[in-house]
Amino acid sequence: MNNLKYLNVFLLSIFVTCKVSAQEQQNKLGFFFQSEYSAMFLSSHIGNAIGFSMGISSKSRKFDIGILYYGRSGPINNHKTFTLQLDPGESYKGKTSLELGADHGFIGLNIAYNLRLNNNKWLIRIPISFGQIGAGFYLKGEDRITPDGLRVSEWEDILQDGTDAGFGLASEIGVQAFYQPFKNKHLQLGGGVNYTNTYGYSSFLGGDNFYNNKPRLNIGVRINL
Amino acid sequence: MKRLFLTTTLLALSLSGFSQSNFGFSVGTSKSDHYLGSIWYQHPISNRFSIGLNFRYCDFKYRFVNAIAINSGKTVFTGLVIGYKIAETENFRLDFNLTSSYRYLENQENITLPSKTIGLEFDPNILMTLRMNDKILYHTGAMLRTSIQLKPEVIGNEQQPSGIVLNGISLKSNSALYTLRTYAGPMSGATGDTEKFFWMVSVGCQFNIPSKNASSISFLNF
Repeated sequence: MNNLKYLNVFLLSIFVTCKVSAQEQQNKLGFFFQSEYSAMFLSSHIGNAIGFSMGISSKSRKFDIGILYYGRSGPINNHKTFTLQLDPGESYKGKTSLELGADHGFIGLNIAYNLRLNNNKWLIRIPISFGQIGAGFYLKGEDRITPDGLRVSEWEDILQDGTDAGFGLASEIGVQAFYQPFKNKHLQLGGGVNYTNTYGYSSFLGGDNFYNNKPRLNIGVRINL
Repeated sequence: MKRLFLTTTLLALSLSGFSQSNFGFSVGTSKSDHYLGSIWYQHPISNRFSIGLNFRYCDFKYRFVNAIAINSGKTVFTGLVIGYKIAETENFRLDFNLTSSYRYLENQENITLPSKTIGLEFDPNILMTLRMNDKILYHTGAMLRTSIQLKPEVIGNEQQPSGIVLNGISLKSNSALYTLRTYAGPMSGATGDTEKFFWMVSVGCQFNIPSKNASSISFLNF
C-alpha cells in the first residue's frame, strides 16, 4: 500500500502530457479516467470494491496506458468476517476467538487496447494490469479499543504473530464495453469482467488462493478526452 | 527573495484583474463526521492557475489521536487551494487541484490521550467536469487524501495517499452553481490503525464574483 504515494508522481506526469486546449486536441495524446465499483468473486463470498483507472490515451485513441487502483475495503464488506481462534492460554479482552475484518488494495500499471465502433458510440476495451496487492485482517468494532492503550496494530501483531498483513504481485486481464448514452461525447457508461491472479501472496486466514484465480465484475463511468 | 515573491504576486494579481473569482459554501456529513461545513474563496491568477482559501469545520464521530480512535470531538481545517486547469473544451474541463490544510483537532472523549492535536492534510485531486446540457454539469474524478499528525507526537503515515472516487452533479443558475458532491473510497494508514474507508456527501453553492453568467465551465474543488 506504500506504493500509493507514487500515484502523486503519476498525476504530475499527466499534467505534462495532457496539457491540451480545444484547438490542439486532434493528433494529440488523450486522457482517460474510469471510476468503478466491482464485485470480487472470492472463495467464500462476493467482495465489494471501489477504485479507478486513469492515464493517457494514444494519439489514435487505440491504446490506453495508466494506473489501476482499487480496494476491497473492510467497512463495505461487513457481511463477511473471519474467525481467529487464539492459541491455547491466549486471550484478548477475555475472548479466545475473534471475528476479524479483511481488507485489500491493488495498484498497478494498466494497459488497454481500445476498439471503437459505431462512430465512437461503443468502446470495447481489453485491459491488462500488473502490480502489487496488499491485504490483511484486522480487529473490528469494540475490539479496536485496546485494553491497555497499545495501538490496535500492535495487538494485531501479537494475536496474529505479525502475519496478519502481507504483500504480493498481481495481474489482471479483462474485457470491458462502454456506451455513450448522452450527447456529451466525453462520457461513457459500461463495465466488464477481469480475471485476477496473485503471485507470492499467502493469506493469513484464507490460504494462498484468497485473491488468486478469481473473476471480478465491474461497472462504472469512463471519461475520454 | 521576499521582494521577488511580492512582485510576482502583485503582477499575477494585476494581470488577473478582469477574471472571475468564486465564493462558495457547503454542508454535509461523512463516515467520520456528524456534520461538517466548508467555505471557500478562489481567485484566478492566470488562464490556467487559481489560488484560494478553504475553511472547514467538522463535528466528528470517528477520528484519531496518536493513531488511536476516538468517537467525539471537533476539527478545524484552514487550507490553501491551488487550482490548475489542464484542459478545456466546450463541454469538458479537466483540473488538478491541491488543497493543503492545517488541521486542529480537539479530543472531547478519551482523557488518557492528548486533548488536542495539530496536523496537516493534503487533498490533491483530478477533477473532470462535463456539461450535460445548459443547466446540468456532471463532475467526477479522484482524490488522494493524505494526512500527517505533527503534534504532540509525529505520525507521518497517519493516512497514506488513498484513492477516493469523486462524483457530483451541479445545477447552473445564472451566476451560481448548486452542487451535490459524493466521495467514496478505501483508505489506509498508520500500519492499519486509522481510517479504512471514507465516504462523504455534501451540498453546496458557489457564486461567481463579480456576479455574471459565465459561458465557460467554472472552477470547482472537491
